[in-house]
Amino acid sequence: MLSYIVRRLGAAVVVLFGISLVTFIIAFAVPADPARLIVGAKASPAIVAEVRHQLGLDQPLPVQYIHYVWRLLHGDLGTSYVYNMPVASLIGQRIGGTVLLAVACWLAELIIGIPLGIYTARRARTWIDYAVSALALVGISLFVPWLGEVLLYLFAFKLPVFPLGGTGGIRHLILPALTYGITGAAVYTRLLKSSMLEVLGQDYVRTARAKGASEQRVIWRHVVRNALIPVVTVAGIDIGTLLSGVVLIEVTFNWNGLGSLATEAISQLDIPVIMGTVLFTAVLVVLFNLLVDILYVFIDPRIRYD
Amino acid sequence: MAKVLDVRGLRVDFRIDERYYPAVHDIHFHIDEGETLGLVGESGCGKSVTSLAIMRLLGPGTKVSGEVRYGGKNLLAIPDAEMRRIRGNDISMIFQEPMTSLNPVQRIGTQIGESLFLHRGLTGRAAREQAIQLLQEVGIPRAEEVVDDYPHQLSGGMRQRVMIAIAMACNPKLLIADEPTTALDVTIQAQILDLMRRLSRDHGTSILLITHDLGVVAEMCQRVAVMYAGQIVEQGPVREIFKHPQHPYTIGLLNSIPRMDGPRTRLTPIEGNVPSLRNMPRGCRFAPRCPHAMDVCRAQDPEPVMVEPGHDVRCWLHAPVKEAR
Ligand SMILES: Nc1ncnc2c1ncn2[C@@H]1O[C@H](COP(=O)(O)OP(=O)(O)O)[C@@H](O)[C@H]1O
Ligand code: SF4
Ligand SMILES: [Mg+2]
Repeated sequence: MLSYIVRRLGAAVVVLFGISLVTFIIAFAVPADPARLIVGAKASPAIVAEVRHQLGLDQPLPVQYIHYVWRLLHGDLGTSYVYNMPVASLIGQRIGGTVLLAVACWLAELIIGIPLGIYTARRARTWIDYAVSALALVGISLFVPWLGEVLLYLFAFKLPVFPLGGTGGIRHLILPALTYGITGAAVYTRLLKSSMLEVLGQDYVRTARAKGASEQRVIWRHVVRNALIPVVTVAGIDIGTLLSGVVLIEVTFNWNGLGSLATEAISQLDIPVIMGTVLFTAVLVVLFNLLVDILYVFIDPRIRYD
Repeated sequence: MAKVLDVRGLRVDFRIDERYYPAVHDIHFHIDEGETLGLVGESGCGKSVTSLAIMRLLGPGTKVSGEVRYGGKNLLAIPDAEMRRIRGNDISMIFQEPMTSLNPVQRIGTQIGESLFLHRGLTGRAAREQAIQLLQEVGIPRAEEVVDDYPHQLSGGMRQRVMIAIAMACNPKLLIADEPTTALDVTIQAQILDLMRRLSRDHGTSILLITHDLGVVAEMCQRVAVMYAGQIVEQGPVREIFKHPQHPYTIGLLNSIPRMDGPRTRLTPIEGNVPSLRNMPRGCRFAPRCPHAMDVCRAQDPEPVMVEPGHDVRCWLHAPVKEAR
């Protein structure tokens, strides 16, 4: 168990190095000279060269990369050209909002998706199963900003139950989470349904019935737990990608988070902020996957000794 | 002797593409108290379907009719809740695949405990102690540790022992064992059969032993029912059937196993295959493979006929003369 976690941690460190390399390369792929961006178009070439030197941009690439990693290891993500502030503090200001929103969206997907999956699996091939599956398909094909606008119009404007966007608490979270939940739940519904149908055909389910267990007991004690194993994997990957993927939701609902920070940075070519947000979200994804791997061990005991 | 189970006219139909096809067709047999009855036949003859029908464990898309009498009741007619009290308590079952028959995410103790909880109301320490005791009884070493193991930590033979412990947890009157040793290697097979014989003797448990192996029947059973294409074609005491088999199918099966006594002749498997549900031959279902098939065989299905008390055969060769030929 412990060695399993240590191995997973080791793998995560390797991945993190890879990510640092990729973000470093991204910075050089951006078709702009950071020094010129900082000093402005009118500055003399001498001043530009001076700034280049200060930034270390006149050194060979491998040296620059080593410096970059060295600074990263000390928690230094660079300084924003636009805000003239450490990127780490900028991220620090915005991360809370994004995590809150992402977790709310994720929970909404699970809260809508999992019960529907269990429900449709138990009524597979009935009209209610077909109806839910069709609705799920509609949900999956809706465009997030569009659905967001519709929900805002209905439940914030026409029927002013919720605020018209903005950052805040539960009341501000419900509509964005619902938007994401409606578009994302179908993945879980389908996955869990097919997983449950597969588990329902397993020999150990027949064993449980042969013991005299009721249908309720069979479903909850034997089927659901086994059927959730693939769902946990997907849910883990999902929360990781959600942290970077809530951008559309942040923009639609005017929510202050990492996504809006990154979109602003891109439009302003604020390279350290772009690099910082990309790196940071990648690290989060890796960490969440690690968390899922560890969580897995508790759900599926077979993994422990692999 | 009193009958534990009496199956009368059991019939099972499966729905395939909007039509129903019989997989088990009008079978009759009974099991006496303390007796082990063998149910033999090639793969696909309807043995598992018969056992699942008795337990009412067949899924939707299945029609089951006839009677399964147990304790003065027809199990096919009682409410679901009453049937659940019988499953795992009065009648329990073990299966062919020990590797997949246990829940991979539950500890062994939990899985044995479930039966104890459902039928005896035992929980916590009492259930755990009882589970350890059961593990010891089925010959599992280090039972105090195994009770906390997960199935994947045990070998196939050990898992089948655990299945037997679960099945015996509530001291059932009847144990249905569907090819319990088919998936195991020969030495383990012998151990599991020994265990079942011992438990049956110590607890007076009757066994319905399903197998395709007549060697197992010879070793374990007092009586045997031979099944072919959803029908019982011959049944009677094991000794009698091994000495004087009457049905051409039984004779074919016996010729295809190595005999310990007689000369070591070459094995002659029966040619051809068990027909599928959708291609049941008219008349006697064995006719396409039978070396003695006559016109009447292909025209009309024979009825079971008693050749000796307690020995029935379903074959035109043994029908009263005026009906046959
Ligand atoms: N659920 C099912 N639906 C349709 N056909 C089935 C089903 N279960 C079994 N059968 C068919 O019924 C016949 C008997 O199967 P089975 O009882 O499993 O044979 P065996 O004697 O090997 O245990 C086979 O032809 C099999 O294909
Ligand atoms: S009834 Fe005819 S075909 Fe069938 S087993 Fe007897 S002899 Fe063979
Ligand atoms: Mg079978």
